[in-house]
Amino acid sequence: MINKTTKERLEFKDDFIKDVIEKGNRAISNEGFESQIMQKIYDITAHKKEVASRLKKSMYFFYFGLSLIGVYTMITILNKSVFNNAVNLLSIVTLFFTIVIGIIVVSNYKRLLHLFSM
Amino acid sequence: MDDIYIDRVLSGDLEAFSYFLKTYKNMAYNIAISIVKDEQYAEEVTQDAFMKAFSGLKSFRRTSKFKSWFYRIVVNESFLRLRTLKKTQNLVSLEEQSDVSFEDEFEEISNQKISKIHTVLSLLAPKEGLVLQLFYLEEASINEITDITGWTKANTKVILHRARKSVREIWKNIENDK
Repeated sequence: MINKTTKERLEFKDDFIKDVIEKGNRAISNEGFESQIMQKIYDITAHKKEVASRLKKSMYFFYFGLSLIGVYTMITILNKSVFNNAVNLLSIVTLFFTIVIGIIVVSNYKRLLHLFSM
Repeated sequence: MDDIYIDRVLSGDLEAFSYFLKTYKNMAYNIAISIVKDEQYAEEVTQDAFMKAFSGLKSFRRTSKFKSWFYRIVVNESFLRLRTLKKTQNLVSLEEQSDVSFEDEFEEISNQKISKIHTVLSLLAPKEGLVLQLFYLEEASINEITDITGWTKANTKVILHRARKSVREIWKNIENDK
């Protein structure tokens, strides 16, 4: 029983064309081709690692700064609401924007880290 | 076999990628040259394709063979390069350029049949050259060719028929010109 692929090969069987294509087969003459690509790969990987590590560092600093602002405004709000009963609007706005900016920047960091991860 | 090396590369063993270079570089080069018709450009395209394959390896879903996936990258890169070349220089001048280089080779290479074959292949349309390389050299099935090129099955068969006809015609013309 002849399967479909064999049938197709028989349909297009052509010894002359096969001979032409096989004899016209070329090889890359550049002997350093593989080493050039491997070198590029090593360079790119090293660059990606460097970028990823810097991104992580920057992300930690950002987390730290943002957490400080968040904690400070939270304490301020709590302090005012417990002792003064009047919460400053500025504190609420600051907390709100800290959260919004935090979400946006963290998702950007995630995207960038994914891009530069191996 | 490919899967083992893919896993090794993805786990950080970069040296494992040289397996793909050794295994596929010449076929990739042949595919590229069948489309761009220039050795220098074909080598650049092959390099670019390998770089793209490396950076896109983690997104390779393994629903098809690595070979088909990689050849698809080579084909896309080649046609992209061909489009850029067409924009920057007229295709006619490119054909003239390749004719000249092959004619030069004609004088240099003692084996006239080989240079005649190279001339024939350089005069084929990019799609025809590509389909012949894939079918007769890589021995890919029609389904694999459709996977690699994105053409329909019927279209692939038509191009294959046309390509065989073109080879015979060009061969005959060269014989008559002698």
